[in-house]
Order: sequence, then C-alpha cells, then structure tokens
Amino acid sequence: MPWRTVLRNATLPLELAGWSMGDAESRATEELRRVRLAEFGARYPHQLSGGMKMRTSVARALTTRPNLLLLDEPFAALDEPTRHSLQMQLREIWLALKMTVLFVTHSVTEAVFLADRIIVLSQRPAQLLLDQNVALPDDRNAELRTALKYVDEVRRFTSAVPVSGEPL
Amino acid sequence: MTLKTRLASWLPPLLPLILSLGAAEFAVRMAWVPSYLIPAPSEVLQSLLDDRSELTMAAWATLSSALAGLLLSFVTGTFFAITLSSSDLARRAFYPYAVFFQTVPIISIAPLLVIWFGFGQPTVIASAAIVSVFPIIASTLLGLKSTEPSLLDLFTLYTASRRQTLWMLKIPFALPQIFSGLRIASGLAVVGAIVGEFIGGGGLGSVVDAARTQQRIDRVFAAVLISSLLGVVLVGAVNFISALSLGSWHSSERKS
Repeated sequence: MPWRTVLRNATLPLELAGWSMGDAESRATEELRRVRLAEFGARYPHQLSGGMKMRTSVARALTTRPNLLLLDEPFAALDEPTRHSLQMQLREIWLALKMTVLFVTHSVTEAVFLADRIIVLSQRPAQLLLDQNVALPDDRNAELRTALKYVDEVRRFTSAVPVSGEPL
Repeated sequence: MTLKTRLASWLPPLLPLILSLGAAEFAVRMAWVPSYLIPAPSEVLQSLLDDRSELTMAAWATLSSALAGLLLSFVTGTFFAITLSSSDLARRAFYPYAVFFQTVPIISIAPLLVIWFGFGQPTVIASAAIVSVFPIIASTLLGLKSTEPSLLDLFTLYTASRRQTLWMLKIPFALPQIFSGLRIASGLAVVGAIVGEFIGGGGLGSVVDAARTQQRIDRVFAAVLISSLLGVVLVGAVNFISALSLGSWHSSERKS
C-alpha cells in the first residue's frame, strides 16, 4: 500500500488480526531482516526497486507464519541477477521456516532450482502432465546453476513438456 | 530560490495583471469608459483603504460562514458518500437525488432558507453547505469505489472487518479524490456564502448589495476582489492540508 512505509506494510496482517503495535512491529522487523530489508523499514514503496517491493510483500506474508505460501510468478518481472538472488533467499527462508510453498512459474530452470517437487500442467484445459520430485540436495547455491546434475534435471523436466505447434 | 529565479517565476503571471490594470486606469482617466460602469483601479484601491475596517469585518463574517458551511458539507458529504459506497442498493436509491440536489439553483432556494432559518448566519451557512456538498459526495464516492482490487483481495484474505477495510484501505486510498472534491467545494462554499448573504444579510454579500444600491461601483469591485481572495485562501488551505497528508507517498504531491 503506497501510503504505508515498508515496516507498516509488513505489520498490516498483524494489525488486522488485532496484534498490539509493539508486537506487530517486532515481528515485522524480524521478517524484514529475513528478506534483508531491515534498514528500509522507514521507506515508502515508491522509493523501492521491483525486487525490494517483492521482498516486502514476502515479508508481509511471513509475519503471520503461514503454513502455506502461495507465490504466483513472483519473480517474472525482475532482471536475472535479482531473480537469482531472490531465489536463493526464498530457499533460505524455506529452510528456516519449512512451510509449504506453492510456486507458479513458467521457467523450467527456476522450477528445478527452487523445488522439491515439480508438477507440470498443460495448456488449456490444464491437465496434469508430470508430477515428480527433483533429485537435488537441499543446499542449493550459485554453483549448482552450472553443475551437471542440475542441467540433467532441467533437461529431464524440459523434455517432459511437449512443445505444441499452437501459439500461446 | 535566488532573486532571479523568483522573479522569473513571478513575472509571467504579474505582467498581464499590471498591463490590464494600467489599461483600465488609462481608459477611465481618458473617459473612454464611464466610471459608473468600470471604476479606475486606483479608485478600487482607495475604496479598499477607506473602508478597510468594514471590509475586513465583512470578510471575516463571510469567511467564517463559508468555513462553517464547508465543514458541514464535508461531514455530511463524506458520511453520505461512505453510506452510498457501502451498499449498491443505497447508491441506486439515493444518488439520483444527490445529482438532482446539485442541479437546484442556490439563488432560487435562498429565499426558502431565509424562511426556514431566518435572517443571519444560519441561512448563509446553509447556503454555503448546499452548494459545496455535491462535489464532496461525488469525488469521495469515486475515490471509495476505485480501491485497487488486489488490495481489496489482500484485506479479504486476512479476513479484515468492514470497518478495518474502510479505515485502513478505502479511505486512505480515496484521499487524493477527497481532497480534489474539497478543493472544488471550498471555492463553491465562498460563492454559496455570498449568495446567502445577498438574501440573508451580513458579510461581503451585504456590502456588495448595499454598494450597488448606492451606485458605489468602486466598493462593489473592492468587495468582489476580497471575496475572490477568500476563495483563494480556502483552496490554498486545502492544498496545504493535502500536501501534508499526501506528500510522503502520492505522486501528485511528491516533490522528487
């Protein structure tokens, strides 16, 4: 919300749930630190980059400690270095909090890097094409992106997606 | 700002003013225009100085009536807009009458107001409130109805109550429109107050009316000038409050 600072945006779900302002702020600060925005709490959204806005909304979603996080192409509009760094941060957050994350993406490389389990859906009408676990370890770092086992997994899931002649 | 840039920003609007005042003065002095139709600017200035105590008191009376009327229309208009925005049924039932209310010419119902409220300030305040209420209703309603859908979804997701959604989302989101309604309303409130004073008595409206019957065209102009300035002052005050409350986030008030 443009009229609230980053910190106030992050406290919103807790305010709505009736938390006291002090408790809400300390929880929100904790989550902002997790997404590495702790020092930007007093900024307004228009002073942030796209990636920082995205991290703010992730922090906002985390304040209530959800068991399920739904992300619909959150990194699609970002440049590649930012996207890669946010992917790493999302992995870290998930390793720390271990909630279920349902992450929708059109990028096979992104899916393989992030996921434990990949579900491939076809175009309209959506049908289940594939539902398989990713054979990669939990600690995924920048080197993995060029590792052979990563490329093999990408190839495996890419070949599972039929390329239709129909335009999108 | 240096003196030079200050001059550069003030000169363009001042130049036409000085030229037209000079032309008017010249035309009256040369007796091209009879001075009982258009007074020489110097006469208006003289009248402003001669009658300054009376004009100041009248201006205060008009300003306070206009402010009271504006406050009244802001409170009722905002309340009305919130009610209309919260229910489709209420909007369909009442909005047409709000529009109809707007089209009733104030000059024709001013005598009615005198019958209801008597001579004096209540009539003037009612007149100022009636002419200024519609822009407030219309723009506040527009603002409240145009909340970003994704933010509404967010509030639904966190099971926010209706009151929370109204105070924490819809009203902040509507603030720019609320202020734009207030800007229009504050100019109209001065107009409404003066129309009310024509009939209900008091303030600059009475000064204009009395000066007209005495053929004191210079005083009419002096009073008209001051009443326009009152409108400018009110709009300026709204702009100031708007800049204070929107300055940090809304693009319309942002400096950088």
